[in-house]
Amino acid sequence: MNDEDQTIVALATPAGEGAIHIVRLSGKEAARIVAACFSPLHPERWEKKEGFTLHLGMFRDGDLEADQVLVGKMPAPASYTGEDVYEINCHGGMPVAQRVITACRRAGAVLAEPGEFTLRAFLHGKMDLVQAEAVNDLIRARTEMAAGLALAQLNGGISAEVRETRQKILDILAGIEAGIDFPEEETDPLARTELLQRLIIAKEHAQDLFAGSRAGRVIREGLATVIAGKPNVGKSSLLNALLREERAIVTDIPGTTRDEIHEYVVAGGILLHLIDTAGLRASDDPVEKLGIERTWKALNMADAVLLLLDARDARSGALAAEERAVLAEYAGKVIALVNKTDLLPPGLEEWAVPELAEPGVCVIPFSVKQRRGFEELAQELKERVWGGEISASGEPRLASLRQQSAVERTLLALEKAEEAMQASAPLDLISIDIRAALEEISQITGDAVEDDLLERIFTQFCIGK
Amino acid sequence: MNINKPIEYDAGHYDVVVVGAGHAGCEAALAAARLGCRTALLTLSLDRVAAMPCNPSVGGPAKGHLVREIDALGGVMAQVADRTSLQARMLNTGKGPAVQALRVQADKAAYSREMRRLLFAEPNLRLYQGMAERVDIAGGAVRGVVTRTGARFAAPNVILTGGTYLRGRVIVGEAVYAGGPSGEQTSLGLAENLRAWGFRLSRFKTGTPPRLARRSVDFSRWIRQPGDAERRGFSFLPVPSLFWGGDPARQELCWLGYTNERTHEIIRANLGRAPLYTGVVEGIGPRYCPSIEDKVVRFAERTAHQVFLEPEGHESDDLYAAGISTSLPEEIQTELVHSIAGLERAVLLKPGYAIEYDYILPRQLAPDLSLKGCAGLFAAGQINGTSGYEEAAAQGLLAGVNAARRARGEGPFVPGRDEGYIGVLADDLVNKELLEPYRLLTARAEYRLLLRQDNADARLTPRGREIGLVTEERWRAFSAKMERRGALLARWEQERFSPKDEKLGAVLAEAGSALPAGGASAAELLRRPEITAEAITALMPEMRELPAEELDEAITLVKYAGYIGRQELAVARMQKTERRALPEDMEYARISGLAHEARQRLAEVRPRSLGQAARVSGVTPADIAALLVHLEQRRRTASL
Repeated sequence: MNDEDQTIVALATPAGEGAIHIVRLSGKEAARIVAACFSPLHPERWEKKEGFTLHLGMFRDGDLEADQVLVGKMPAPASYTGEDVYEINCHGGMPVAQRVITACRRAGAVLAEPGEFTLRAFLHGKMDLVQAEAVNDLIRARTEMAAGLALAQLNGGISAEVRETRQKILDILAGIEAGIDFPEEETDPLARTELLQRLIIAKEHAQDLFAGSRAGRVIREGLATVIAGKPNVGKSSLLNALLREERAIVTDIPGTTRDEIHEYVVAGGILLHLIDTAGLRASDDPVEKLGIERTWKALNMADAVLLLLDARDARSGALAAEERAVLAEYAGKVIALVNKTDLLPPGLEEWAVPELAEPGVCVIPFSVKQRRGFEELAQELKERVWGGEISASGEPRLASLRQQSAVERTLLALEKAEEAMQASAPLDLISIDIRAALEEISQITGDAVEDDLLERIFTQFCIGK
Repeated sequence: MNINKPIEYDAGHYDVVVVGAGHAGCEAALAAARLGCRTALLTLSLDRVAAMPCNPSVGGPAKGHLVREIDALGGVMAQVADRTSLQARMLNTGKGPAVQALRVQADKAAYSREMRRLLFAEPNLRLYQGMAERVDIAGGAVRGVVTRTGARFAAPNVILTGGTYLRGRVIVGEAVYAGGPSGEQTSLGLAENLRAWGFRLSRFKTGTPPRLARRSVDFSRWIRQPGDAERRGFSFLPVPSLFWGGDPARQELCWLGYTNERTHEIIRANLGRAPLYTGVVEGIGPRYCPSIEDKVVRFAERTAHQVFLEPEGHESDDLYAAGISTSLPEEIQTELVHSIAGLERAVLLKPGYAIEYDYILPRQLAPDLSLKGCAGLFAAGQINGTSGYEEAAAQGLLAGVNAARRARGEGPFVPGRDEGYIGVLADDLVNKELLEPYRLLTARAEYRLLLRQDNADARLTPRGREIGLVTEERWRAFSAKMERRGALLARWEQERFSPKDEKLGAVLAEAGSALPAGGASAAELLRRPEITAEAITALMPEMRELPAEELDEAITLVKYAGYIGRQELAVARMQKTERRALPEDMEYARISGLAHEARQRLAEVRPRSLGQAARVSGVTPADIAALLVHLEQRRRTASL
């Protein structure tokens, strides 16, 4: 269990699909954490002391807008846990809920252990003694389920990768510790250069795992797919066509304060998080300019960009500067959909626009109206996701937020160790971060640190003067 | 055991009786006596107190730290080791401030003699040679000890420090006999008596290498291993060596050589006669101290293993052959020794052997080293399943202090894991499952950077003073040192150097360090990795007046303040859970929500705090949650 002084955060609703997800935050720091992440639409109402009120506003993770949310304010001691509690209602599905949790963590909250809210509720007198047993049963059941889930979530491939990374860290630490505790043994203590090399390799493994967990995010949260193009090129029609085509809308949130529209759709077996953006063009209108700026931001964040071009422009080579910029700048992730091929002069419909191709840009002749090119698009997205361009592996990877954050902390600790190593810090200091890395990654595998470390020292090195 | 039952007689009433005069027993007896307790020390042989049946050295990583801590608390091991030092070396000097550790090669006979001198000089201490046969227990409390010859030493506090002497079984090849280490007798009655009282004992094994005659060795084939060029010692108050005084040049040498393929062939050819592999040895041996036969089998690819020859004494002809611990038959031992370059004609003075012995499963201990379920009965040292002289001495000191405190009606002294290796040792013993004889390692200390040998005094001398074992002289010297340290640190923070300072420019250029545009304090400069002790003394020459260790310690504090701060934060978090006390009368079997395994372990260990409960092997976070719920239930029921 976390320290009672720590503020805990977790999803309060069942994970998975569902229209609304509630993130619960409880503890002494809850108010400060929410203040750091949440901009209420009506600050004057928000500032009022009264509790048990709902507030609309924007939740931010640093500079990034996570989502528009409804925050419920339940001050101590009348809340569920007896502490200051905030419940953040997210309407954007799991991806948004997870972003909200991440934002809270970055602001100082820690992930709640299974059953911890209930435990706190009981400890703060929110439940009577009769319920104590139920609290225990609940905690045990959740802990066991979480452990079971954690293992189940780690399918063969990823589990092997986590273990391999852990083994690499363990070997480094065993080498350092063997040299320290048995200084005169024939332990071939690792020379600093070799140590640094091994540290970098372990770090790269952790980076891959972490990147993999981003690939996992694609699976979970959808491929962030931006539909871009100049005004009236058919972006909305494409969006609507995709939605009609698949009829697998996860959720929808019409933008109220933004010009972006977010939709979820499954295409080719891949969850697309579609972001329709404001049309790209030079504009003097301040409101429109703001929208276009957001479009560029969205392009930066995107996993894939569907750039809609008018076939007639493409044919004549009359692409707008903005269109060329997108092609050049996002070449790696752009799929150019040359739309409105139906409007080309007869006989030119099959024209394949090869001269458009920038390196890395996939070009698909397209017609929303004639439903042309959809299959090719689905195929292309599928290949990108499964084919390694977006994710190294098609399997769901580090599935839970807990695992991801453990990998993230492993990586951070290894980076610190590497930095200390580069700065010629002594081994006993470097070992502090390597041990921290080992402890973090061991949280995923559930293995004991000290026993394994000693075992490794004694099997790897011939000790015994 | 006795064939006839002797008639018991009253051998006196004491506050504390210590059974065994090894490293644990001597510290325990001296501590209790010095704390004003009428103390009796019983030993099999008054001529062999504080014997070193294994390696002739004290210290090394974690162990050396422990010796400094014993010293800081007011124990004697550091002084005796320094006084009988043949050679001293600082190990791990290149690996950082936390893990540097001193090791002293000691003269075994002199060590025993010096300890005996201290024992004999202690006014409150009565010495007695005899074999303790049973402890007297009545009404859940210890009453005293009775010897084989019927002497009854009555005492409300008894400390058992039986070492490896309980039901000892010595094994050399096919020869197996009941006996203690180094040809001593073994104690059969006490182990049975403890079992009869319901304590649980198990069996461990350890071993030792053959001793060779110094004059039969051809040292031209060996590499010299000298001591350090500077004078080094464990004790805070310097104690000159009987053998080299304060002149490091007069230290004795150790020697390094190697086994070879021939040696390994001899071993492989005779594994059929190796007790380790024929099933004769039943006890579990330590992984960190394998026999040469074990090393040859497990690391078959290695063509050579190190052998260190270490003098056992200044005048003695014995050489300890570290690295070739063995229980092979004597003729094979002779053959394998002769296969080593420079040992072709070596004479085996004392063949190596393995020894199995009973030990008390240490989870029956409370953190003050008393045995749960029998008030006033303590156990310390190898009898608790540990290995090493230093681990034994530290436990002896702890048990001695706690027995004395109990005699004086004071609460137990339980050092924390953040206060010293002595705390790590006791806490591990009480909470962890022992799979082999326990040896302290720096890797076992989670707050290693805080537990440096250079601050053992700062950590523990104030505790030793509270306890009453720190002398006036030492306290004054310690207080003066702490004042110097405080002043030095303050000065480094305050004193600023201007970028125009020529000396600063020269020193920084020499160190390859950039000139700070706005100037910098000495502390700021020291935080740069490239600024070393040399650089700072070049900048502030008067620093050279300070003892080198004090300067190094202060530099460590400044340079690694970030890391130290992180560990201190972790300690603060840990201490919070340590402060959540668990009542003595917890009925773990009846606490709902605890897993079966946790129930058993917690009932056995009976942790004193929630923090300790979390460290018990087999206890999960869900179990801790269940304990929290239970505590809250108790609180509310009590307030009804």
